[in-house]
Order: sequence, then structure tokens, then C-alpha cells
Amino acid sequence: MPYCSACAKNTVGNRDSNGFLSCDDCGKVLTFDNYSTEATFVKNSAGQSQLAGRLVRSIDDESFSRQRLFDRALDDLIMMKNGLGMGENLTLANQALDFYRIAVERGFTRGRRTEQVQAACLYIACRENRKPYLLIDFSNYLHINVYVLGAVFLQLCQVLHLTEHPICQKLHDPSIFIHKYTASLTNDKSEIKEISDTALAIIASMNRDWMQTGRRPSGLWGAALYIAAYAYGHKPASDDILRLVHVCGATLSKRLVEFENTESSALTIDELNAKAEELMESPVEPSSGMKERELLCKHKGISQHYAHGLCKSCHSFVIGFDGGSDPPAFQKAERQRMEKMEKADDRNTEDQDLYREEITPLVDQGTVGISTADIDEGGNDERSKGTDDDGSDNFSDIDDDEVNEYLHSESEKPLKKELWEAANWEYLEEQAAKEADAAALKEAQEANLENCSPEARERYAAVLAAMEKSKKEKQKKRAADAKNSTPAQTAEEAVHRMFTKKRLGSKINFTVLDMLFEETSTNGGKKPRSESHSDDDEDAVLHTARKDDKLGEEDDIDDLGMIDEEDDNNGYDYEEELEHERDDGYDGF
Amino acid sequence: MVCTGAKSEAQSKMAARKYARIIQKLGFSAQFKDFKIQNIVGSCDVKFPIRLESLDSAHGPYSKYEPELFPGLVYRMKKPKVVLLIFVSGKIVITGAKERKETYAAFENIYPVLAEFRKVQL
Repeated sequence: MPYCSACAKNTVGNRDSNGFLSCDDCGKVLTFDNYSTEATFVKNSAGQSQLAGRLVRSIDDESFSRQRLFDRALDDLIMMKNGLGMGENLTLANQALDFYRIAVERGFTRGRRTEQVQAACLYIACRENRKPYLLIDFSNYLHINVYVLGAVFLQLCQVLHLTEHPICQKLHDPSIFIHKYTASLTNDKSEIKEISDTALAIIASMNRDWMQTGRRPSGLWGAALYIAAYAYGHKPASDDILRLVHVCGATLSKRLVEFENTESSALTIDELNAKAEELMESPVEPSSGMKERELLCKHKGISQHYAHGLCKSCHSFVIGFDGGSDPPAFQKAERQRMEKMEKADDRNTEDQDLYREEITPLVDQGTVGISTADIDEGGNDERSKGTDDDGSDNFSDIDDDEVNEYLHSESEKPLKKELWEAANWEYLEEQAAKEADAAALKEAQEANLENCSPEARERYAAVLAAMEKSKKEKQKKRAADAKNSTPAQTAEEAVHRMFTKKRLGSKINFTVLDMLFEETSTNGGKKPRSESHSDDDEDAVLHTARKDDKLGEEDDIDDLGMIDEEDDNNGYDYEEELEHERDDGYDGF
Repeated sequence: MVCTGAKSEAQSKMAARKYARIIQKLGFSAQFKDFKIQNIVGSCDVKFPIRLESLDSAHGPYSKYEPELFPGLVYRMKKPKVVLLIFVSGKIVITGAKERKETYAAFENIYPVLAEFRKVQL
């Protein structure tokens, strides 16, 4: 509470937007504090404007563009969250933003669509919090191909080192999803519970019957929901179910047919539930030879190891029980095997009927043929290895006639030429234009040389040829050097190499560059420098620049631009040097 | 030149040499140097169903199983360095081997693992 001398009392005072704190009663200005985080400039002794104070980079100092990036990301995530209907709670979005921060730091967002990265982050957050959202929900909302999104998600898991985390290892728990789906089908609370329970029992039985392995979970859940809803009197339009689980009608019917083929389809609902409970209770023997192993499921540290690195409940959930139907994929494979065997049998019996006497020698020959072919293959490998040593340029073992078959005959050649030219006329036009340009250029040069004697012209041609040759040789040498060279020994060397490779040599004052390296190597820490000292430096620079001009012309250097690239090498020292080398008030940023 | 689709190493080499010969016949001075087998892909069938979920949880660091995205389990074996695609039907695809014996060795290694997770017939 500042004291107002005019009113002779302490008053709270009003603070103006301009920073004035004025007394309540008389309006006298009590204090004037105008704090601002902007950069302010003051005039120094030379009359030049200079930054007041110094910009210090702190740990928490995120550049403004970074801040904007994360704010925008958070907004997008919230919008995505709302669009998918995840509720008003912001924890998911914040978690996803944390993942996004790490992704940005690791450079994961470069070269990928931000939308996809954000969706992947949100999906990981959903999985962690066990929210009932599948990848296909995201891809449906954003209209992105689910496999593209899946690839981004897998790569993100890799970057965040989540590959062995239960988030990525454990499969989706259907119970959370079924509740969500049932809730959208009906509003009656008790019904929701009943239908969900039945659907879950059906899913468990599908699991036992190996219908789930290798399948998209949504299809099975849709089928289970369909059956459960039917059992309780609801007649859900298949369209509703399809919309919920994002599968097509054909898939749904296929799953229903597969379930029909299993044994559990004949049971009533009550029988199904009873069977489920019975199997849960009965002691299932773990496979023999399983030593005490660390628990890998989510009950790590809580339950005891049962089998396959899972506790008892997870084992029964994941692996199911002994027996059950074969998975449909395996059934299909078996069927194909059966068909093949039958066909082979048929063929054998057929042949036997028709060609009884002739067949046996033929079959024998056939099998002998096969075995000799095998031996030949093996032999070929040996032989081809032998010919290798002879010199593989000798194509004598290749049939010339066969090769000639691949080549066009004299009559075919012009036809093919016509076809190709008709198909690629655009390319030919471009090439013709290029040639015309080159010819025009050459003519212009010739016109210049018209007045010279023939010897001069010859010399000119020779010079051109020599230049071309030397350029090619230089390129080759550079490529060979780059391939064979050892990594740069010092930072200075590395910087030099980088500049030559990027062909920025003409834009850089190498003498100043070398000086910088020299200085940082001689003075490790900060060194107080005076004005006169820096002037001397600059003079020295100009002097040497004129003398050793290795690289042709020296343009005006943009000191700051180049130095920024070496920031990593020299760290803090730069800020020091920049302040003293540049007196025009332009600090290093 | 890359030659792909051959059914044996010798076939691949023969095909590549034939093409080189064709180029030679067209008048270009072609040489046949540095032939190298880069990738061998093999498939097989173990004839029993496999529980991919449990294989994934038991061999976490090596296997990748995302039923939402691909029906098979991708198993990256370290030695020999090959990738196996394992499907519930029992069919296996082995790829990434530079030599035939690597493929065989990979199958030898994976068979006991698969047998561990086979469907037990009651």
C-alpha cells in the first residue's frame, strides 16, 4: 500500500494501462513501473543505439515459433478429440501433447503430415487410458488411409521407445469397446449390461475357437454384438452395426458364418455363459516344461506366473483353452490341401484307367526325370561356380539362337521405332529444343570467332575441350576424395569441407573463419576485449584478405549468417565475439 | 541391373547373363561383373495353427503383431538376420536372407518356437 503525500494516507491506488499507479482520491501518481519484456535500446557513448542488457538463453526458453507450434497442436488435438466424441476432459489431449513434444524434439514431424502425427499421438494416449477408440475410428474421422496412419503410429512407437510397453504389446480389451457400442444401440441401462455381457461371452468363445487370431478385432465384435442384440429382442439394422464397427457387410456375414461353424453356436445364451464360467473355474494345466518366468502381462508384480509369461487370467484371455475349433485361415488351408491331394489321386487313378501299361514306365520316367532335374540343379550350381572362374565374360554357354529371339528382326525394327516415337513425342520435342539451344549458343560463339585466324579457332576449340576434360577429372577426383577421405580431424577442417561441398566458398571470408577458430582455440573462456583491440582485428582481417586471396573474389561477408552455422562448435563464445566485432548494435540473433 | 523372380540362384545368374548377352548383341560393350544374390524369399507350411497373440507377448522384442493392420506376425530374427511372417494358418514366409542356408537355419530356429504355441488338439 503506497503512501500518498497529498492525501496523507496509504491508499491502494489504481494502476493505469500505461503503468502509472495513481492515488484513489486525488489522482497523484505514486509509482511508475513499466515492466516490459520487449527489447529496449539505449544510446551508448558513441551515439549508436545498443540493446539494453543482454539476451540470455535459459533452459525454459522456447522460441516463439515453437510455442506457437505446440499451441496449434493442442488446439488440433482438442478438435480431434471432440470430433471423435471423447468427452470434455482435457487429460487425453494433454497427454497426447506430451507425446507430440517428444516427437517434435526427435524430428519425427519433419517430412510427415502433422495431422497424422497428432492422430498417432492421440491414439497412443487413448490406448494408454484404455479408451475405446480404434485406429480405424481415427482414419475414418480424418479420411486418411488406415494403413498409412498405422505406419505412422508404429514408427512413432519406435521413436518413443514404446515397442515393448504394454500399450503396444497388449491387444485391445473388448469389454471397453462393447460397452461403447451397446450404449449407442440402446439406452436402457439394464439391457446395456445384459447385451454387453452376452456379447463378451460370445467374444470369449470366439477366442477359444481361434476366430480372433490374425483378424481385425472390430469385425468379430460387430458379429458378437449383432448376435447379442438379436438375442435380447433388438433387431439392429445391420447398417447400424456396420457404421459402428467400420466393417463392410460381407465381412460381418463371413464372421457370422464362421461362428455358426463353431461348436458354441449351438448353445443358448445361458449355456454359453455357464460354459464360460465353468472353464474359468476349472484348473487348466500349464504346458509342461515352463520354468518360473517373469510376468510380461499387465499384472506384472501382482499375480503369479502361469504360462507363456502371462498370469492365469491373461492366459485364459489371450490363449484361451485347449481345443476349440481350428482358425478359419487354417481350415481354408486344410481344405486346399485336401483338394490338392484328391486331385492328385484322381489324376493317378485316371491315368491308371486309361493308360494302364504305358503309365508305369512313364511315371517312373517322370519321377526319374524329376530327380535328375534336381541333381542337375545341384550340378548346375557346381558347374556355374566352375565357369565363374573361367571368366564370366565368356558367354559361350548361352544359346545364341535363343538370344536372337529376343532381338527384333530387320522388318520389326522400323515398326517398333514408329510406335515408340508416337508414344514418347513429348520427350523427343524437349530433347530437340535442348539441342536447338545448344546449337544456337555454338553459332553465337562461332560468330564471335569469325574474325580470328584458323589457328586462333583451333586454339579456342582446344581450350574448350581441355576445360571440359579438366572439369570432368576434377569431379571424379572430388568424388573419389569424398569417398576415400577420413572424417575431418578438426572442427575447422570439417567446416572447410562442408563449405566446399556446398559450394559456398565464394561467399565466405575464409581468413576471418580461420581467425575465429584460432581465437577460440587460444582463449577457452570469456576474455574481456576493448574497442581498440577489435579495431586491430578488423584491420588485420582486411589486410590479410587482400593478400591471400585463394578463392578469387571475396564478396561482402554476412558474418552473422555464416557464424550461426558454427554455433554448435563454439557455443557461448560467439555471443562475446559478436558483441565486440559488430558495433552497429546488431546482436547475434 | 537387378534380376528378380527367379526360382533358384543359378536361374537368376543365368537370366542375368542372358540379358547381358542380349545387350552385347545389340552392339554395346557389355561386361558381366559382380553378380551377387541380394535377397532370398522362401515360404513353408508347418501344418498346425499358431497362437500369434501369445507368441507376440512371449517374444516381445522380436515380434510385431498389429491385427488392426496386418493379419500376420512380423518376427525379426537376429541370427541369422532374417524376417519371418508368421500366419495363424501355419504358413510362414522367410525373407531377407542372402544365402540359402540362412533361410534353412531360420526355419530350424523358429520351428520349436512355433511348436510351443501350436493349437493343442484335445
